[in-house]
Amino acid sequence: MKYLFPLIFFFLITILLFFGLSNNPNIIRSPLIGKSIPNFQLTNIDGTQSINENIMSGDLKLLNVWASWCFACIAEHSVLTEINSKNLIKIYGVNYKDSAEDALGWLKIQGNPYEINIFDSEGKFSLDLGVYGVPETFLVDSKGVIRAKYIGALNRETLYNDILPLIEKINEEK
Amino acid sequence: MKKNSILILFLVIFCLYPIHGESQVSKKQETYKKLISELRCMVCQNQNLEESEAPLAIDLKNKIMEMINDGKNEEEIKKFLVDRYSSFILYQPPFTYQNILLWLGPFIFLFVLTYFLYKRYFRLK
Repeated sequence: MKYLFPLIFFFLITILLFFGLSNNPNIIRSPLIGKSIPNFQLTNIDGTQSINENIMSGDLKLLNVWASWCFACIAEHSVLTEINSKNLIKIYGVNYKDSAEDALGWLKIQGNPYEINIFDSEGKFSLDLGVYGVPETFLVDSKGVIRAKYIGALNRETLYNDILPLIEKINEEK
Repeated sequence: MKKNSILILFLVIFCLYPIHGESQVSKKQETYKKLISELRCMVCQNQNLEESEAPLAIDLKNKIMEMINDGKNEEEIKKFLVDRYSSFILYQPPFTYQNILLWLGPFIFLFVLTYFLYKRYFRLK
């Protein structure tokens, strides 16, 4: 009986610390999940085509925020290429705070898995998307609503264990 | 004489006008200073925007400055940022059911501890 309270206390602290310390502090749930893609008026990278939020309706798609200066984007690129070659889902790109020349050169070297690329050189659209560390990837449904957000480089584990099952679930909703 | 006093009045108003402008500017500056010291840099999470030189922090500072110049008040700017970056961006989180333990935890802890200490104290007596 004498040891009961310290013991309970000990276990409570252990449980608290176990869950508290296993959280990754870099992953913060986006308040934008469940909301529509914010309005924007931008162009593609070479400036030949103007793009606005209307392109977000239609198919289910991934919206991937990337930059040529971002190292983690290179790591993630093979996953995007795999998605594209297996035709798993369409990928739209947001080129974040980049120069057109660098971005186009990067795509030439790395390959271009993007259906379309939105050129956000000033980062204003990305600010509306709450981007704080590239690469970030949003899953956007056919109505242009953000369904999920993945912060940091995508890997195959996230793709096959999280993203693809979620896509299937969203497709079943219809 | 009357003409003179009107002239003087205008002169005084003229001289005071820059002070009025100055006070507007310093009020904006105050709001700006307060906001950037209360908001977290999302990249380097233990720094506020004021201390941070991360590119995103600079963008956010510019955005805040822009919004202040557009006449937005403190609450509107905070809401704008929370809508995009979640309440994590505020150093002082709002009181919600999700973080109720964070706010009340210390008081509960204090209460429980006081209770046990009292019990022990009277038992020893």
